This record gives sequence, C-alpha cells and structure tokens, in this order.
Amino acid sequence: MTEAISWTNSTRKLSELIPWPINPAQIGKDEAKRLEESLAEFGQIQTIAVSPTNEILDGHQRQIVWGASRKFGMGYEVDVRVSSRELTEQERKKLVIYLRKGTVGAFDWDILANNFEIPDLLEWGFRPFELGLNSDGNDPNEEWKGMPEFGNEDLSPLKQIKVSFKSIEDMNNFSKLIGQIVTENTRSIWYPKAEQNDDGDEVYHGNT
Amino acid sequence: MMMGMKFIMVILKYPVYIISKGRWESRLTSKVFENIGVPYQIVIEPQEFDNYASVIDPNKILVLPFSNLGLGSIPARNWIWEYSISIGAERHWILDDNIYTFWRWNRNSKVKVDSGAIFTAMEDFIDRYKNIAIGGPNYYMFVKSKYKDNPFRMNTRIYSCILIKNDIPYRWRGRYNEDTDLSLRVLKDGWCTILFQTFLAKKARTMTVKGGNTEDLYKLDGQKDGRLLMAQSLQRQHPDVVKITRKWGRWQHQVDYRPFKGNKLIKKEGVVIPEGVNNYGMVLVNRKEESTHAPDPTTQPEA
Repeated sequence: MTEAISWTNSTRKLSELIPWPINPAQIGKDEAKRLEESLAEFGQIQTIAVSPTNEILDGHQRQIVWGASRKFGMGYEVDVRVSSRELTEQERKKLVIYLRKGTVGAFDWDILANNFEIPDLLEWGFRPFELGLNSDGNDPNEEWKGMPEFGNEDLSPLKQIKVSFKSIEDMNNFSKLIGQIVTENTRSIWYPKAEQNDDGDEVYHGNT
Repeated sequence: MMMGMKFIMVILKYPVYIISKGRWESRLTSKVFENIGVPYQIVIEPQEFDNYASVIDPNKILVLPFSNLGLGSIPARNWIWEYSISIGAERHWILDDNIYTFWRWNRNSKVKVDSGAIFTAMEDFIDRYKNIAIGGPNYYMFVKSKYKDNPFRMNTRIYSCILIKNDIPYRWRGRYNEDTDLSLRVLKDGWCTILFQTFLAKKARTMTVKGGNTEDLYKLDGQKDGRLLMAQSLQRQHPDVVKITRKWGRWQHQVDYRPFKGNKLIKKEGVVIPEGVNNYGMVLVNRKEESTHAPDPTTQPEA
C-alpha cells in the first residue's frame, strides 16, 4: 500500500525550486500580470507545494512570474509545503488536474451579478463571454434586438461523474437502482431523468 | 412539413448556391431548400447535368465551365463567387450539399424549422454592419441546448453554410479546410465573422454521403493519414494560430481565435435597430396537433 502523504511548512528561494518538465498548466499574459500584482498587494496567500527534493508539485507559474519580476526575482523566499515523500508520476498528474479542474467549485452567478461590478470582474480575470458579453464589450443580446426570440437558461449539470461497471450484471443492477435503462450503448444519463426537448414534436413553421 | 400546410417561398436579398458533385440522388441541401422554401441554384459539373436535371428543375441548375479538375471544390467555389458578382449581388450564400435540416435554438430546445425565414433573419442581421465578411449558422452538433450561450459567436470559423461579402479581397484557395482558411484570412485583416447560435444546420456525417470532394481528401496519398495532411496544410497557411494535435485517436488542427477578439462590429450609418422580438413570421407548432396552429406569443408585433 502506498504511504500516506503528510506536509510540513518551510521556506525556499524561488531559485531552489525545480520545475516539472511535463507540467501542462500555462498562464496567459494578463493572468501573469495579475499574479505579480497579487503578490505585491496581498502577499503570498497560497503556499507552493514541493517534494522533499524541491521539485515543484504546485506553483510553477508563481515561480516563473515572481522569479522574472524585477520586484521579487529568483532570490525571493517563498512559503512552501513540503511533501513527506516523493509523489509517483501518476500522483503528480492527478494532483495537477485536481488542483485546476477536478476540485474547483463554480460561481453562484446570481450572487456575482447582485454583489459585484462587471468592470471589476473583467479586470480581475473574468472573460467577457463568461459574463454574457462580446469580446469587444458589446452585449450580443443587445445586438440581437429585433431578431427572432432567443433565450436559454443555464440548465447545465451541476456535476458529471464517470461510473464504471465490472460486469453486465453490475450494469443491470445499477439500471434497476436508478430506474432508468442503461445499456452498453448508453453514453450519458441524467438523474433524475431529464426531459429531452431537442427534436421533439414541435417545429417552427413559416407564417408569412 | 406538416400535412395540410404549404411552405411559403422566402425572398432573399442574396443568391443561394449549393455546390454539388455526384450527389443527384441524395441532394440533401437541395431537398431541404425545396421543403422550406428557399430559392437556390445547384452548381454542378457539365457531365452530370442529365442526372441532376432528372430530379431538379433545370432552371435551378448552374453548370460549371469545367469538370474533374482534381482540385477539390475550390475552382467551383471561386467560379460561383465571380458569377454572383457578375449578376450584381453584393453577397452570396454558398452551401455544401450535405445539409439536411435547419434548426432554431431557443428556450433550451433545438427545434426544426420548416421555413426559410431564418435565412432572411441572418441576412438582415449581417446587413446591419459594415464589416461582417462572412457569416452563417453553427452546426447542430456543436450547440448544447441545456447550456446558456449567446445568440451568436463572433470572430471564429464559419462552416459549410456561408454568406460571403462579395467585395472582400480574397478568394477560396488551397485544397483542404478552405472554410477555416478563409475565416482566418478575413479575421487577420480585421473583418468580423458571425456564427449564429440561434440558427443551426444539421449535416450528414462526413463521408456518409456518396459524392462530394471530401471522400478523396480523407484518403489522400496512399497510406498517409488524410487528416494529418489536411491539418498540416492549414498549419502551413497559418502557422501563427494553428497547432496540430492528436485527439481521440486522430489528428486534428487546433486554431487559436483569441487574437481576433478585438475585431469589433461597426454598424452601418442610419441603421435603426428595432426594439423587441421579430420572429420573421415563424410560429412554433406541434406536429402532432396538425389542426392546432397556436401562434407563438413572441411573434406578436414588436413592443
């Protein structure tokens, strides 16, 4: 059985940290600028995660951006969390995806809309399309005035998970359990079962 | 088409051309236009005239002055462009012959349309602006109806149903991915493209319809993977924004459209955008309730 990982606090100079050659995470120009500003304004809120041999497990962009900064540089000392053992390659891969995708929550859009200002959200990192704005700052829904009705709610799933079955029997049992037909051809389902509206009985007919 | 209801032929501002080769039997786009009342001309090579004329009104057939050039669809596309200019058109529609239905996305549903009014709406929208070089509907398969999105996307690739501004200084070129190449060239020069999300086209899966030009393209060069050659060709044309990736077991090109975010729409002088909704006469009806033609409340006169 793999030994559990524990973490201890420490500090390192940025120059001591060793990047992971296959780190898939990237940072854009705007995000890098904000990352530098964030350190200047708020200090180092999030620690960098490293292995016992100083290989970076999380924090590549901080090393790159802060290390290249005139204000901080590679001699800058950062707070780190040091793992009790080296992570396997698979663990490193899992961790990098977990931290950026698999464990990241979502925004409550109503709270954002009611309590935050759009210019602030754009300045702090939201992309215009995420706020329903065009890239040039125009609202496509404004541009769409005088055109056919268009309105859709966000009915996207809260979460999607992958379910695996060892056998047909397991799959059939699962099917019974949720009260829906699941076959070898099933690619996805909704629970509870959702109404499929596409290609239903309705049609837009021309009337003029 | 609902029984007992006749389609109404729409009047479009711009000519519509379907490019077709070896598809007189399937002629999917031609059939859907017959069904929804969109005036069109199908553009074919001379040796296939009799075949097409046996199933399509000859008045709707345009015959190319060449055949079997072995250069894919590019010569035909450019011939159509020049032809539409010669008849005085300011824009022209060009479609592949593998589209079999058109749809609207609204109220979290994708609903089929049996009216050509969506083409009138697309023309009207594009004509509000000075600088839309090309536009057209998104593919049905690329819109998730349960998600929230905008009525159109700007400055991206426009696929196989395209309204082209005739006086832009470009022409079709190359052999593969010609729609992406044209989209990128106009975007790089600061023009805008509009991909409608409200209106969608459903096409037959690539290589499931006999005829056309793609069949040969995917099996290029003996044993070589045609998809890779196509991706490499696009990358050579646009190395600054195209990457080649291998996804889901096949080669794909990946285009970065972010550099074109700043291409802004410029309204024509004097254009007044009406408030409210204009459904262009389209009403939502239930196919099962043939006698009930409940009007869509949103088709009432504008507020």
